Amino acid sequence: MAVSNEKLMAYLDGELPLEEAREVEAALAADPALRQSLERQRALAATIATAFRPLLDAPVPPRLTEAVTRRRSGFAARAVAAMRKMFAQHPLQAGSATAGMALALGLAFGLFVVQPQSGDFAAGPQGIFAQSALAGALDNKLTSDAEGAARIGISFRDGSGNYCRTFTSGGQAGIACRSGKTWRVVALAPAAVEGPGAYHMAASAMPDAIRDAATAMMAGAPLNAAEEKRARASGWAQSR
Amino acid sequence: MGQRPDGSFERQIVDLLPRLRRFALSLTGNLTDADDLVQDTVERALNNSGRWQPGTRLDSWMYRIAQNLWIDGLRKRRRRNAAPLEEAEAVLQLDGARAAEAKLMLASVLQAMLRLPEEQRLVASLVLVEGFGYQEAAEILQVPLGTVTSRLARAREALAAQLVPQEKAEA
Repeated sequence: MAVSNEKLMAYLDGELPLEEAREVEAALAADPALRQSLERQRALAATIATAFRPLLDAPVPPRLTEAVTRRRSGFAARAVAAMRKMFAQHPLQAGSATAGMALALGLAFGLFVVQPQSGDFAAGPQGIFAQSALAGALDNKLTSDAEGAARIGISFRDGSGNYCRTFTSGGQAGIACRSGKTWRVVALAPAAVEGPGAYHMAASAMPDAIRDAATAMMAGAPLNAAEEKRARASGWAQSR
Repeated sequence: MGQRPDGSFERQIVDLLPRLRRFALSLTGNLTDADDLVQDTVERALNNSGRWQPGTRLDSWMYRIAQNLWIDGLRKRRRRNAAPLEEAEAVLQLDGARAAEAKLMLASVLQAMLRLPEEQRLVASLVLVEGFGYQEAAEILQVPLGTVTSRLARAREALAAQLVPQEKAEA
């Protein structure tokens, strides 16, 4: 049986299904030249792995680690801190001086604050909260659910262990964090329109300002699908 | 805002840096370009962290960013003259006979990698240097699985011709 070079390599890499691997082994037993090819490739793989191994132990230049950590203290983190404080202290109400102040501050930080327009938001003494369809989506939808007007971008935990989720709904995008049994809206911006013509399909994308703000708030990686399901099952209870 | 040093998104990226440098060196053949590529990769990843799909591998996502940047850069950048032995010296700041042997080995592997066409080098870097499976490599490179296997086979023949002495295989 002829074994192609590609198949022999796939055998060496453990990429062949068991049955095909058995066929290659039978061919190897009968063919010294094929065995030689395999040994050459095995030697090559060992040489390459050994040659590059020292890179894993070499000190990483400080400029690279700094490139990772720089962001934390950066722009988006400051913007979120300022916005959170404002939302917590002053409920936004249409036409109020506070709303104007928030808008100015948002512009200054590159994070646009829009006035909550639809029935998705309710202003209270503790800030802005999600209600109706948006609250339902935040309670129940997973990141993978693409149906409906309100969609979830990512879910994550903030530094206090509260679950937060980015969302788009009704032309707006934002971040909501679990506060007791409600979702407090800590950042809000106009949703980015996804591609030409997408507007009519009400498809909207997460604006970079919201992504950056979420990155700055995030403690740990965004939740994966399994973690998100567990968090939903727990009613988004604070985890630490 | 609490900042947990462990397990954070940033922490995971810091942990990936040595592997990303290794990958970048295998592509660029010199440490300066490799570290520039890693830095650009990190910055792009942090700027687009919301595009990373939770539940998928962070390392694969970072490698995809790195290879996209590398390919974009090829069109703009003039190739630097690589001097693999000097690069190997820079990586392995050690003395002694074993270190000398390791330097020569890395220098000759870098030299052989640089002679490969870019598309073959990318596959060889992902599978042979970084140890990714074929499917993962195909996803990182955004090419069909069959393209990975054929490019890899060609890359390996060229590398073996330069790096594996005949008598070694016949022994």
